[in-house]
Amino acid sequence: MTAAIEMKSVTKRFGDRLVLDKFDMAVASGSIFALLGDNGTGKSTTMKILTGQVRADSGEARVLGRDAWVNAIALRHRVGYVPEKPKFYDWMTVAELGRFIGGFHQPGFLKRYYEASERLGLDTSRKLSDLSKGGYARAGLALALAIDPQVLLLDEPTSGLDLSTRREFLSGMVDLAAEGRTILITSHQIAEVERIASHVGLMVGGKLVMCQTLDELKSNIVRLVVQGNSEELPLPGLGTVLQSERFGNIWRGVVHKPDLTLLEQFAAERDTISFQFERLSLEEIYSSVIEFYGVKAAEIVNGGAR
Amino acid sequence: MIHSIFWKEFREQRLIAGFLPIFAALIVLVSPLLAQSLTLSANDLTAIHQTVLIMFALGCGLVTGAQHWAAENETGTLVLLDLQPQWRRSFWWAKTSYGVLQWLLQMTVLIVVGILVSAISDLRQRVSWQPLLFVLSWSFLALCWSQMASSRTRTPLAAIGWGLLATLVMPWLSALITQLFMNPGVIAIYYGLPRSIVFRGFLTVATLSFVPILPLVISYWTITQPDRLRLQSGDTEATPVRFPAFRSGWRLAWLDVRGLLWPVAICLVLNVVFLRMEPTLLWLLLGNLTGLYLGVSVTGLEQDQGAFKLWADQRLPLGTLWGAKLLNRLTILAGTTIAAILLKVLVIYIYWDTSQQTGGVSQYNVATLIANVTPVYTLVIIGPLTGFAVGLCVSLVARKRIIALTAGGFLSLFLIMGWLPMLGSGGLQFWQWAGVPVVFIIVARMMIWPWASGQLNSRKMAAALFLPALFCVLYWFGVEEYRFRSVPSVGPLLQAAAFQRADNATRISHADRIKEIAKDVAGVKAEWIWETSQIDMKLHDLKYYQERLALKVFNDEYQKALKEGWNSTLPDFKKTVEKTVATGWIKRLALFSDIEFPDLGDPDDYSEPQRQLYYSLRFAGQILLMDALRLQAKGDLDQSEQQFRYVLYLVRLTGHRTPLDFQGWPERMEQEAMMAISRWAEGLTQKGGKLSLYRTIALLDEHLARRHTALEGLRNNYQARVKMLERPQVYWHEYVDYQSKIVRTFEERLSEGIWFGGIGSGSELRRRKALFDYWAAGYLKASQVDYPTLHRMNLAAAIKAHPEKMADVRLNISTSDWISPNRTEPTPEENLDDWAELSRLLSKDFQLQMTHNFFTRRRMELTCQTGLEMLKISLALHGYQLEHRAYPKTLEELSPAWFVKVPANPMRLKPFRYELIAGRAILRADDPFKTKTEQGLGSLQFPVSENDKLLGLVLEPLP
Repeated sequence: MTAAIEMKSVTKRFGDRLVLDKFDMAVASGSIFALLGDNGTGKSTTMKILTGQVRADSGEARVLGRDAWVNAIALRHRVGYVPEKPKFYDWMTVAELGRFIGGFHQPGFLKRYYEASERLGLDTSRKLSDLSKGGYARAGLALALAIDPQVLLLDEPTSGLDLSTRREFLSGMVDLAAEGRTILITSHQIAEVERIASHVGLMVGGKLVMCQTLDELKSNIVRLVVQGNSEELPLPGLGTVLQSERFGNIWRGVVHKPDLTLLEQFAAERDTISFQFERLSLEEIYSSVIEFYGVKAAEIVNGGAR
Repeated sequence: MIHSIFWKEFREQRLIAGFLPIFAALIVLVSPLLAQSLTLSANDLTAIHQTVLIMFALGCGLVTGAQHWAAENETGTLVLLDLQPQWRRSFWWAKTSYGVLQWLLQMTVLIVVGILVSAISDLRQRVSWQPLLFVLSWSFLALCWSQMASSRTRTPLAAIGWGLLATLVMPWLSALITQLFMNPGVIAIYYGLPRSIVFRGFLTVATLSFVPILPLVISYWTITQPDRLRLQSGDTEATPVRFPAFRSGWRLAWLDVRGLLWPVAICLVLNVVFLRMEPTLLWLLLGNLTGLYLGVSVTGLEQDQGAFKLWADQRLPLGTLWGAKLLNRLTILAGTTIAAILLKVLVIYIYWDTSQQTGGVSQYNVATLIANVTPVYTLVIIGPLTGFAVGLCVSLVARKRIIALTAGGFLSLFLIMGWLPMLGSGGLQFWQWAGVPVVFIIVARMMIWPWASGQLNSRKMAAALFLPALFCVLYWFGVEEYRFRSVPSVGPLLQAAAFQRADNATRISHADRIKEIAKDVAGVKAEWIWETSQIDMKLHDLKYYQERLALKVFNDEYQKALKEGWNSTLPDFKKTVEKTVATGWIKRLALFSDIEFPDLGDPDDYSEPQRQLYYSLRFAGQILLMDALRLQAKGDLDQSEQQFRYVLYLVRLTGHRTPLDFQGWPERMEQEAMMAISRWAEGLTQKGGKLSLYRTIALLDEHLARRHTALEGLRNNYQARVKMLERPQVYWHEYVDYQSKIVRTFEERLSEGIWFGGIGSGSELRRRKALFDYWAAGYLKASQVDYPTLHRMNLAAAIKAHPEKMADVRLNISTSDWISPNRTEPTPEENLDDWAELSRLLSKDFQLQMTHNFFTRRRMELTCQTGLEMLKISLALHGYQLEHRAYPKTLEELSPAWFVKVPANPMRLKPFRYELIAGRAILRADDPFKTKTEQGLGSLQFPVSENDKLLGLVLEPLP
């Protein structure tokens, strides 16, 4: 499978602040890639680099095989983008916005825009200033969809949307991916993202610390509960321990890539030890990874405002 | 793409873009109604129309240009455009094209309106291009520069500000560069620059085109920077971009000050650009608005963005925080003020030297008026400080900065206008006005905590505005009352009624005296005297009339006649034809000379045959006079006299109209006929010339005899002279009334010139009236004192004031013929002190205008009295000469035959000076009024020279 989005060793600084540090990422075509990370870890900067708004200091960022900065103008016919805080001319109606933006795009834009608006439940005769926050976000999404994008970049697209709209929106993403489009999404609604994402990337401090399919991630990162003689703990073959706690002779931990064979063999040799695995939700995985990398995760998991 | 951008820009800008030209059109079209109430002339109205058109054209350019990019920045929609598959340069071209198109439409409206009201009149005339070019060029520059500013600022308001600044500065800069190269002077010579026309032309065009092109280039360069970076990157790997690092402290200071700089800069530039405007008034206005802006800026931004509670969250004490910002702004305000003064001085020093000599001073009249009576520091700080204090207070109350600026602008300008009459009338001391800004500052300080903590409810707001306003009103009235009370009241002795009774008695005695003299004069053979003096006068005025009356009128008429019918004729032939025609007419008319023509009345009412006759006569007269002039020049006096005779026929035939001016009064025509004839005698000082002169006068006498006898004429003339001499004697009561009217007119003019000045100037008028009474009373008192006494008093005062300078001056006089009205017999020192006190209270302009007129009147009265006495003596001298065939050796010889006692010079109360030189009698009187002002001595004046101070009468022996 070819990569629709590819970033190699991308570095970006704003003044003295290092935002992206030799950032590597590859998003497979047709996938729904959830890019998760703490506030200020560089998710939006990544989006801006991919949309050609910001130039990387060094490294290579490619979308659909073309340089994201140099070929930004041409790529905008094929790449849709919904910014985190979309800004439109509030005096326009939804229809006028489509007509205005349609002037910059190829024929067929307006028709698709109306279709997308209808699908997203937008009243095209309403002024943008009268729309709710969710309506505003949907207008942005309608614009992005109207270009018939091969790649869709969504920067926190569901923030401000109510639950039903959010779910409807995200299920729409699955349909789009089914049509072969690639979707890169950043969001704080991790539980929602979990329902649709095929791939997950976890960012910490400007680096992508983990990048796997959701299934791989869930099978690689599990919770292990061990009961037994405390002197024999920790056990061999645990892999990377991301999080751990002990209650008497019970040891609980989140581990990355544990060696099951080794663990079972070890337990079989001793009657005093028993263990069991538990699958984790994406939120729990995210929290563990972030904590492991020394970052407060609780605020993110609880959906704290950016 | 183009369609989208045009549509979007139109929708966004249509309201303001349409409003500006339509509003300008309304102002221009409605202004004639307003002009009626303001009694403006047509020229004033045209100037106002042109100013309105230029200002709105400037506004159209500024607003249109400023919208393009700054508005996108402000609303954050530039990102939206940046996410579209278009290059920035495409957007730039589309937006710029729209801007130019919209601007053209706006200009079309303005120009059409301008043509309708004749502010931009007939375009076929070259001179009319000037207002049109002004409108277009300023507006286009504004469009370009505000577009540039729009590319580099975050809000349209800032773009308008910077754009206006650049629009005002850059043409001057460019013009300066052009001027430098066009008139290279020493620079060109020193550096060996080529001075050819081609080079200069190239340089001028290059420099001027630089002005509008530069901003567009900068704008394009700024906006398309991402495009260039993208293109430069090509397929190579992106190169690192380095951001400049700022030290945070300096960065913060800069951020705090940055937003304040463009209004300050505009203030400074306007201060320089309006070089010809009165600097005092200009600074009152500019300083006031700048102060207001800085005052509003202390808390305005936080208020505007609802961030005022942040103040309460700061760790710093509120007062300290507010004080720090206050001091910051005050420092900027002080710097601006100093810079404004220095710039003005510099510009005046560089550019104003020559224009000062050609009337520069007169352009500073009101400024001079104010500056003469008000301390300079008051003038410098009253505007900025008042504006600043008001801005501080208002910005806490108004929800938006723009509201604070508008409301504060009205309020602070109102306050300044309230002070203006006092500033210009007697001066305004620091303590008299400083209470107002101080109260505003205190109130602002008191409001800071309620404001920052969100407790500033409507009741407190009302109190915050009402209480200082109430204080200001009370303060103002207090100051007004103080100023009124500081004027001394006039004592009972010099109340107007009492004085007028005394003055009437004086007038009656004067009138009796004149009648007495008239009787004396009538007893002498006055006609000789009169005739001779008239001839002398004519000779004296010959040159004047030749230039003013004869040649000019004749030339005008002659040129007109030539244009109407003789253009194609050769000059020599033309003269012959003209002469033949004219003399032919005259000869034919002379055949009917016994027929008395009636008064022809107004030529416009003539029948066609009458009109033809009238213009024929008129033309003939002109030709005859021309011919007479030619003959005189050749020395052919007989022929010349013959032509004059024809002229006199014409005078008679045309109802006593002279050929030179058919529209005047008959009496005047007679005089002018005589002058026209006398005119030919210039240079004819020899016997033949004199003879010619007497002959022509005899001819005129013949004409005069038809209206009245010579004796009647003499009598009439003498009576007119006596009347003229009488006139100054009705001096005081009429003249004081007259001057009072001038004072009121002056006040009304001042009131009209000042907005909201009605109350201020009306109240100040009360003080002025009291001042006028006190001041006029001093002159009234002085008028009752004979001149030598007054002179001694002034001399003593002058010696006291300037002992070293007065040491060598024997004869001197002060223009202030004024005696302190509240003292019975003031010593010179007391009088001087009182006069100094009065001068301090009066404005210089007031003093100059009034004093000058009183002084002139005083002089006229004394000169007439002197002239009358001299005339009386000269009549006696002629009589003596007729009896004894010679003039007396001394004036005493006239007594007792002609006088019981020979009259003395009323100016000095000493005998006239009398001399006999070459058979002529010369009578002189000292004229101490002919004086000049010596620098450094204020109002004291000194005689110009020994000869200049003499009033002389030279008598020729009669035949």
